[in-house]
Formats: sequence, structure tokens, C-alpha cells
Amino acid sequence: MNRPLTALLGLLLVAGAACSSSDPTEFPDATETTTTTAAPAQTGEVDCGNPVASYEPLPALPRPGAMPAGSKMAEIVERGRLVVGVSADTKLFGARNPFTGRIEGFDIDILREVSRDLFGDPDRIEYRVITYADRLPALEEGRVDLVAHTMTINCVRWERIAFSSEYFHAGQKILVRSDSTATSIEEMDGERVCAAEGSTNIENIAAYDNVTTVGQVDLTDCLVLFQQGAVDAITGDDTVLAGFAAQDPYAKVIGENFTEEPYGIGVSREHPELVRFVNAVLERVRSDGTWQEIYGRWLGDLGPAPAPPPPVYGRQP
Amino acid sequence: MSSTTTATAAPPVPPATTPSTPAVPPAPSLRQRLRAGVAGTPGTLRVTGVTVAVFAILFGILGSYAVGERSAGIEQARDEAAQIVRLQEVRTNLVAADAAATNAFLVGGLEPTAARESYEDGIETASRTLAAAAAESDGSDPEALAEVNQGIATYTGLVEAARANNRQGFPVGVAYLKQASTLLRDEALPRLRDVTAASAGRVDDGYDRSESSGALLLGTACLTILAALCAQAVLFVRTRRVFSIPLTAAIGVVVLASFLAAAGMAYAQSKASDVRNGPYAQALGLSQARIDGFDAKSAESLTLISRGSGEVFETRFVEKAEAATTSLRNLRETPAIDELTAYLAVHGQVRALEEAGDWDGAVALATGSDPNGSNATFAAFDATSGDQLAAEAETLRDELAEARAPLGILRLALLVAGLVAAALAWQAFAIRLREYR
Repeated sequence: MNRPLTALLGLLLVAGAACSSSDPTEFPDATETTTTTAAPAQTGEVDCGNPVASYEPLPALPRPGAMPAGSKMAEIVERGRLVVGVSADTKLFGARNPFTGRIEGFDIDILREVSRDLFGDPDRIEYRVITYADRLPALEEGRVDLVAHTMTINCVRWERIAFSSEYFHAGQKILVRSDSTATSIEEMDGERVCAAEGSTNIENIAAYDNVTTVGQVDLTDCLVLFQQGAVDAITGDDTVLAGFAAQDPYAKVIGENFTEEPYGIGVSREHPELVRFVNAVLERVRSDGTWQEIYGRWLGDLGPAPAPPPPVYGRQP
Repeated sequence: MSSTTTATAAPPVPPATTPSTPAVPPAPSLRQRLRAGVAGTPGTLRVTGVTVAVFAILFGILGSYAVGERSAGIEQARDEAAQIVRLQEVRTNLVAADAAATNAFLVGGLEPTAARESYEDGIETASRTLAAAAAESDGSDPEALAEVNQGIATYTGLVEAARANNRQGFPVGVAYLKQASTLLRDEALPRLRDVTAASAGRVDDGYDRSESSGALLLGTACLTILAALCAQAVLFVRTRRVFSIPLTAAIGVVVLASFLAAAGMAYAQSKASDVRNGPYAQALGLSQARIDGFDAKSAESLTLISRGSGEVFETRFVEKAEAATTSLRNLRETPAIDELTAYLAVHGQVRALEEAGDWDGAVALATGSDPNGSNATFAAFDATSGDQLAAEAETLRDELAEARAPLGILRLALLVAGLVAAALAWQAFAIRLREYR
């Protein structure tokens, strides 16, 4: 089960690196978005140039604890902790380890690097567990400073929040029972597919009339329904689905990527200097081998760490 | 009048050979005999006597029935109150088991033995008490309780799935736990609440049945005495005797019997009423406070498990905590309210810790065995309120049984009194009728 997945993941990472300048939000039917969720349209025809282009990073990282006066970073350092919105049930990216009680994963480790550069200590973080639908409101309402929650960068979201540069490249796929013969969503007539409400995933499959969409508040609730036989498949980012397949030996991930899903850290639009700071942190993480180390820790089973997705800059706040 | 002097039928006369024999009148028919019987003063006396006797016997029967109704009404209230106590016990234990399961989950990994035992005790007691309640239930309740039983089975299955996944370190365990908690609150608990409400309705019906029987006794007693007084008047008019000893004695018996029955019924009703306002109300209030208390405890754990998106659970905590406090305050004495207040104060500390960013500290306070921690203070509330509830339930059963105790004898006494009064009344008229022979 792992080898095809590794190959696919490797392939798409290379593809992503090679064509990161192309518009990744194109998908078969970019028409009116779904009515299955109450959240505002997350994908659709909004032009913002290249969605993965973020603001220029700070030229140099300030010393931990010595942030420019008046900046959001100074406020965070003053407060003493970085408040972040994360997932606690996305295995490999943000999940609570029941043995230690700590939340850990790829997204968490990226945030710890930000904390390291802010405070000199990677653990000055207050974690707030939020649902998919709450990712944007939490930033807009100022309840959290950053959101690292397998969040895809796209133009519709740029209308409401700002993103750092891309720190991981994923794609949407489908998870089915290990004895299923389907190889893509077109072959799944009459089946029920579960997705998280408020995600790009649920909107992307709304275009497929041959399946019934079932929405759940948390994607992990989908796994429960899947194990109980109440749904036949789950759709989500291949990274999240890999985590599910790791928990359930009778599940497998199939098909080509529906879409490319570049992940970015969400920041409020009111603090472009914080975006620049985070971009600078990500530059460090890419260049000093930390990214590969984090990849190896969480996704090492999928093979050797590829090159991190290259950043694109040029957006003006 | 002597019963032997009826018109004797003349022996059948053969066709007359000597026309000089006078014709004998034919044997009188039943109707003619009856008409003769009620004719004139003897007839009036006979009718009056029979009427009074019948009234007296009816008094005995209906009076006995009235006492029986009061007794049955109280018995119904007692049985249904016991059923309510059982059903509340089931609800409390289910919510307690859920609180233990969510608390254990919060600790993470290998759950503490104490939490596991607490969960299993809760489920076991709930199942056993549910079976007892189902055996005692009637109407549509057995079906509803069967569904609750099924709900419990599904719930325990989901908790086991949560536990199995948690043991492997799989995050999907939390999702199973949430599904389990939701199932309990959306299906099993509301059904139990409905069955409890139906039982409470039947307790009220029992009390109503008991109350209305008093009117019946009073009614028949008054009518009988009235009939006897009218009979006395008839006697006076027809025989010019002012007053007849047996008839007066009959009236006396009726009055005495009514008095005793009324006194017994009043005692029973007053005692039953005291129970309704006392131990019954206490038991209901305490059991409801316990259910709300455990529900709040479980909401506390879920708030922490949800960690940042737990507002819905905190809202539920506040709602349940207020309901529990109100239930206790409305009781005669306010038992266990100090312990509840102490627990709510600790919960305030837990919230303060989480909001200040110290989630680990909040969890430690909410799950540890610190004597000032959440578990210990809640256990104190559980123990005090549980003991108090058991005492009230026992008082409830005992006092209602005592209330009914004298009514059994009174039923018999009324029947006997009715017969005695009937005999005395008839005797009064029999004496007078002898004068007419």
C-alpha cells in the first residue's frame, strides 16, 4: 500500500516543484460552487495572480526576543506565547499523541520553528484546536496568531486572510475500502463519499453527480462512519488520508490528484509584517535541513524527503 | 306480620253437583299478593323497612369500596414513586459512566484503573436497575426501556472502539468517544426522561384517585342517614311512636362507621400528602440534581478534550450546573449544596487555567486524584447526595406503606357495619309489623 502512494507522492512533489508557477486551483468544473456547506465559497473564479505568491520575507531574522517595536511579533513576545490554531486529529500533521497527551505532527513542528525564532524556545506555544470551518474565522476574529491546519492556499481565501509561502505540497485524493475495484471517482457510481464541511475538498467533489456527498464537522468523524459502513469513501488531502490508512489496514488511497493543494500558514491580513517574519522562518527551515528532518520524522515511511516546495514572492500587502 | 298467613288456596272444587255449595275464590296470583303486601299501613312499613335495609347494605358496600380506592390510590403512588427512583438511578449511572469515560480519555493513553472501574460500575448498575424497572413497567414503557437497553449496548460498543483505538495511539478514538456521548444524549437519555415523566403522571393519578374517594364515602353515608331519618318519620306518622330504638341504633352504627372510616382515610391522605411534599419531592429534586451534576462533569472533560473549540460543552456545563443548583435550592433542606458549590469553584479554576493557556495544568486539576481537584470534590458531592437520596427513597416507601395500613381493616369494618345497620333497621319495622297480624 505504501509503495504506490510513495511513488505518487514523490511524483506530485516533483511535478509541484516543476510547475509551481501554474495556477493550482484549476479543476474540471470551475463553475458555481457547492451548496452542501454553509461556508462561503472557498474556490471559484477569483483572480489574485499566482495564489502561492506571498509577501517578501524579512531580509534577516531578528534575534529571538528582540522583535521590531510595534510589530505583531513584538506583541507576541510581550505576551509570552504564540497562540496557534491547529488540528488535533489529523494523524501525521496535527494529532494528539494519547501516550504523551501532546499534539504533534508536521504542521506542529513548522509552528515550533516559528516559536524558536520568536522566543528561542520551540515550546512557547498555546494550541487551540479548531475545526476546518473555523480556520478563517479564528484568524479574522483575532483569536489566534497563526493557523497551520493542512490549509490550502487559494485566491478566495486570500480575500479574507493572508498566507505564508508554501511549506508543503499535497493533493486531493480518495480513500476507499481495500477490496474496492474503483480507481477513480468516476467509477464510484451511487457510492457515498464523506468530506469535511468547510474544506475545499467537499466543494471539489460536488461537481461529481455520480456520488452522494456526506459532510461532517471533523474529517475524522468520516473515518468513524467509514469503519461503520455508513459511507463508502472519504475524500481529503492525500496527507490526511495517508494518516487514515495508517490507522485502518482495510483502507487504501486511490486515484490521481483531483487538485493540487499547496499548504500555507494562515495569518491575519492585518499583520503583513508577521507574514514576512514567518516567510523568513520558512526560508531558514528550507535551507538548513530542518524541513527534510521534519519530513523524515513524520512522512519518512513514504520514502526519502524530497526537496521542499520552492517559495514564490511578489505579492504586495 | 307472620309469614304464614297468606291466602291459602282452597282445594280444587270438582264441578258442582249440588249447586248450593258456595264458590271458593281462586288462588291469588303473585301480582295480587304483592299488591296486597304493599297495601295499607303494613305495606308502607314493609316498603320503608326494605328500603332502609337496602340503603344500609349499599352504604357498607360503597363505603368499603371508597376506602379501597384510597388504599389503591396510595399503593399506585407508592409503586410509581419507587419506579421513578429506579429510572433516575439508571439515568444517573449512565451519565456517571460517561463522565468516567471522558475523564479517562482526557488522561490519555492507558486509562487509570479507577476510571475504568468507575465506568464499568456505572454501566453495570444502570443495566441491572434498568432490568428491574422493565420488570415493573406497564403500558408502552417496556418497549421504550427495551430501546434504552439497546442504546446502552451500542454506547458501550462505541466506547470500546474508542478505547481500542486510543490504545493504539490512533486519533480516531476521540471521534468514537464523541459519537458515543452524542448517542447517549440524543437517544437513550431522552427516552428515559419520557418514561420517568409518564411514571410521575401516574403518581399524580394515584393521588387524585385517592382524594376523590372521600366524596364517595361521605355521599353514601349522608344518603343512608337521610333514608333512615325519613323512615323514622314514616314510623312516627303511621304508628305514632316518636322514636324507635333499633332504627336509632342503626343510624348510630352508620354514623360511627362513617366517622371511623373518615378518620382512617383522613389519616392516610394526610400522611400520603406529607410524603408527596416531603420525601417524594426531595427524592425527585436530589436525583435530578445528581443527573445534572454528572452531565456537567462530563461536559467539563469534553471542553478540555476539544481544546479551543469546546465552547458548546462549556455552555452545557453552565446550563447543567445551574439546573443542579436550582434543584437543590428548591428542596426543604439543601443537602449536598456545599459540596456542589465546592466542585463548581474547582471547575472555575480549571477554566481559568485553560483560558490562561495552561492546558496541561487544567487537565491535571480536572483528572488528578488531588483532594482539592475536580474528581475528589465531585466525588464528595456524589457521596453526600447519593446517601441522602437513598434515605429519602426508603422513607418514601415506608411512610406510604404505613399510610395504607389501617385501611384494610376499615374496609371490612364498613361491610360489617352495613350489614348490622340493615339488620337493626329491619328489626325496627319487624317489631311494628307484628302488631298488624
